[in-house]
Amino acid sequence: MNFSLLKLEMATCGLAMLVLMLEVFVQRRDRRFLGYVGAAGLLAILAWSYCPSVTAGGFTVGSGFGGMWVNDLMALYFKRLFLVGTALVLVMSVGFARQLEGGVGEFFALLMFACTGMMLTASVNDFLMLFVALETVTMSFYILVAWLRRQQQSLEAGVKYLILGALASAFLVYGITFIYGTTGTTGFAGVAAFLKANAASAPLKIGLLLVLAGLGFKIATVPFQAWVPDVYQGAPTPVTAFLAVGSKAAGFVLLLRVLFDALLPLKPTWVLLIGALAGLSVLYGNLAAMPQRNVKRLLGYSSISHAGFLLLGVAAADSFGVSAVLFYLFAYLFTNLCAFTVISCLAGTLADDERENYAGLAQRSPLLAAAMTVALASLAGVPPMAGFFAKFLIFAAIIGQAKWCLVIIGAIGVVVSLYYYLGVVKAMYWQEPRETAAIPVSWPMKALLWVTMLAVVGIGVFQGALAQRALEAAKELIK
Amino acid sequence: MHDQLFWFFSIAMLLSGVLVVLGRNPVTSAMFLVLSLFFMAGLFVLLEAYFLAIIQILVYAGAVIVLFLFVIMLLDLKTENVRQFKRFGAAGALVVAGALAWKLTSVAASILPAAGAKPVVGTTEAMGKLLFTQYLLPFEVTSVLLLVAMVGVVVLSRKETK
Repeated sequence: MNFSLLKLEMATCGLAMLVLMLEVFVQRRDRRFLGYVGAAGLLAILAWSYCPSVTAGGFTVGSGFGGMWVNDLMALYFKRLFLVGTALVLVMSVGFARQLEGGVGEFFALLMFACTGMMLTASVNDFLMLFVALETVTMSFYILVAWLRRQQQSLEAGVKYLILGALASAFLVYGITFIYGTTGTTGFAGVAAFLKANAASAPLKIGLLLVLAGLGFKIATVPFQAWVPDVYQGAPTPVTAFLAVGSKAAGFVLLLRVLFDALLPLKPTWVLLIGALAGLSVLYGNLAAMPQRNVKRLLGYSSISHAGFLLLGVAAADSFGVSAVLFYLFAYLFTNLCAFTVISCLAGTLADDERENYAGLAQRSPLLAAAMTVALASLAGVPPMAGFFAKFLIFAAIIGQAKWCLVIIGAIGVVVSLYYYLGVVKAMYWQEPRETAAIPVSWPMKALLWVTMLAVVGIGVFQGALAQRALEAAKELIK
Repeated sequence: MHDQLFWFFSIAMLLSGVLVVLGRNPVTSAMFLVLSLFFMAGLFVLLEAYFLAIIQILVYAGAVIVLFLFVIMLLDLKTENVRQFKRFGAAGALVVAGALAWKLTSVAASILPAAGAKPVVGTTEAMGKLLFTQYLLPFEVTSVLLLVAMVGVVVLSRKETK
């Protein structure tokens, strides 16, 4: 038992509890500033994670807690991703606080509890731990999605997410019982050793399939994508952003760990399965996004297609492919947060998120229109944005594996996606606005927009450092 | 004797489980759920997991179901209307459920006892030892999970404050 391995998680969880308690002592009108306390705290933890005492005192050492816990570079990479993402979402929530009813302090605390759960998922090396960590994330999201419970849409989203999420958890835990029943262990290393020594029996295979189905729900891949559009549309905008960047990344780190740690001996089988899911997700997400008129819903379908692109990288199944996935997730984080910050700035002004309301946005607020354009261009993969280089790495990885069928499907997806992303850009710049009143943007939101925009362009132009880190992390996963 | 009891408990458990879903009256459904949980506790006893069996009855059959009944009675639910099925949806559900059931039964037939599973002692003492040694980390993380759930219940159920 070495609890110092859990420093970062314990600090994050402690920060969440601190904010929860501080709420009692803070005046009601000042409570939304607790979001800044949380964001500053998370950034401090992020800075701490670069401190040599953390990195040397346990991070590269390996596993603890009877092999349930692994601290490697990939875990660290994802923990930093979650910390950055949650801090930015917290700032976004402060700007959104007027739309949130009641206790904003609990809202911030739950975001940070979800972040704790995500950081736990980054280090998971055991199926039991996987279940507990994932449930911590999902449970927080059940509450966050249904937060605007006076609005029918949010409530509907909450109920849908709860029911489908519970079903996915049931699949997951049922699968784990099959795995434990046949191998007698829940550890990834133990399962891998069993698979090396024995052929995979039918019960074990069905157990693993059920686990993958549970994870597929989290990353929103076809055929487990049914919840995405409604939940993305109905949830409060910062929560939608967090679902898109945080929950998806948590699902992917678990998928990578399960596939490359526990299921490495079955690699030839799962490469086909993941490849098929990737192709279906890219096609479904992009084609279904085309007729969408609601911008949040459109980003929901786009998130399905991006899950597909990320799975393409997993299907490449080498360290280069995995590093592309890691890079993609970071690029996707800033891009999505940029887009959702714009949507959340507009939430107080526009009636809803229909595309017609975005008409002529450039005349009403040039900054918002520019930020949305940068984000959509990055999502579509237009150079020099971060999304372009991320897609470039993914394609390079699958071309390197000579999976031409997937390359063609991916290319079709990219071309189709240009149509619907640029549709929004066209509405913002080349259509006449219904109203001409300027849209006010508060300075923290302006700062957030600039930070995410610069990050999107910056990662796209200076991709070397991040790509290098992603590759180092990926090489540690694939020995 | 052991085998007969196993079959008795499992069949009775599954039957009452089906009745939970088929019942039109929520109170009847909840009572069948109690029954189903009791039989499951019987299965735990057969597996010599006495602690789990007791917890199953105390917590689930006792506390949780009583809570269910309270809520059902407070809400004063009427007998549910007969549901309208969409033909296409029902057919799709049947196909998927059928395929899953077919696969699972074929798998269950081929199941073998765990290769390296240790003999489990289900007493309170053994359970406690496991929780605080091998499974300490998930056990501690569960406390965060429960805190989140608690905050959520308070937030989602409180009255509007202005």
